[in-house]
Amino acid sequence: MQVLELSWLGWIAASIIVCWALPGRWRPWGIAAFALAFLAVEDPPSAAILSVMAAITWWSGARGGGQRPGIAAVVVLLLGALAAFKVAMAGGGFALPLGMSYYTFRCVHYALERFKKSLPPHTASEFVAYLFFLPTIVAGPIHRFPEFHRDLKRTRLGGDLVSEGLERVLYGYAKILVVSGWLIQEQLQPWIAGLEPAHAWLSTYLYMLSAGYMGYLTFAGYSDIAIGASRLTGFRVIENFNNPFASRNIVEFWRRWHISLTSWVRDYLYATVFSLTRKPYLAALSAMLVIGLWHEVTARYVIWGLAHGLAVAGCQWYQRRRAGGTAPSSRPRAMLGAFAGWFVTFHFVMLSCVFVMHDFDRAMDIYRTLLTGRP
Amino acid sequence: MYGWLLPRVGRRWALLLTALWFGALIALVILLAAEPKAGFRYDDL
Repeated sequence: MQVLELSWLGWIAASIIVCWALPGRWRPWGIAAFALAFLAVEDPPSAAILSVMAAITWWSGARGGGQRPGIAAVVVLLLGALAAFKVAMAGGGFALPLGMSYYTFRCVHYALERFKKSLPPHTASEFVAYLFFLPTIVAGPIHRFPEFHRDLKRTRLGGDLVSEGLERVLYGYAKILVVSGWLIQEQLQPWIAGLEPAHAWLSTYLYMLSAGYMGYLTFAGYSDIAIGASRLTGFRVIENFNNPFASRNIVEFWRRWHISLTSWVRDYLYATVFSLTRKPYLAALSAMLVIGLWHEVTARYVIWGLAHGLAVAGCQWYQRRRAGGTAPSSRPRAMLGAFAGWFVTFHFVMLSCVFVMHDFDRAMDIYRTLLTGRP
Repeated sequence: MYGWLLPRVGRRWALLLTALWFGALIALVILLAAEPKAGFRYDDL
């Protein structure tokens, strides 16, 4: 099931209408029922598996409050289930339950925050509505419970939410279908391919940039559609992108790219590893490795995660080293430094995208051409 | 968009430009409704 399919749009439209038609106290059940019905129709095993995970998460909060080993066991169980499915999927044996990667991280967030007693008082229906929220269930963002709970209190859909929601949905579709699909894939990439073999280096370089932008625009488009549909349902969920290719270093890039995932990893993994070991570079490396494995349990994503982890750790080291130094003496020097930082970050991200967006042989061909200029 | 245009070009032009912009976007999305092929999908995770 994909976000762009008309049937998904139909489900979203119907859920928005029904959710606003229901009286306030029935709204959380309506939200959850629609998402569960969608899962049950599209992929019944997904509905069953995600329901079991929801029951475990709720049970852990209701029974295990205050018990550290209990909450640790639940987190290991949830993440272990995700890891097991990802390994099975990598082996070609299984399909991942719909939206499970995003869903599992929401469950872990809820379980840990409930353990810390930082969640607002809520009912089981509000918890179920949070986990089974149709706009974000397939492709994220990994929104948080407190904001969701706050917006559940909304009693009417204002004109500003309707306008913002429709606009975001339209921009999302435009990013995917018009810019990424038509402009880049159908127009630009054939033109780039036509440059070979006389301009092999230029052709490969432009192809790398176009593929990187396609990946970004497609995912940012999914996020826009999810954020827009959430607004139409009355919820403001976390933004997922903030102009990431303008970043001047890799740490800044990861604050602007897939923000809901990176903030989750920062809060629950980076902070934990850092507090246990007091080693920021180890925390950065493990955080980026987990982000890689979250995408796919394959060697290419392990290498990609480690490369980004080393880059983040290197950047942190450089920033700490410079923290005690003097600022650039002139404005041109500062501008040159900013440009160099952007240039290195942008190309590092693009080159790393090549590794995960293509099979190994094709990626090596691209790197070889970029290094030697030969096709 | 309308809110941004309103103090700059007045109500009539703001309405017209907003309608044209969103009309053109909707037309493009409908006309070019072909999803790009991808080896990795974020809505399949």
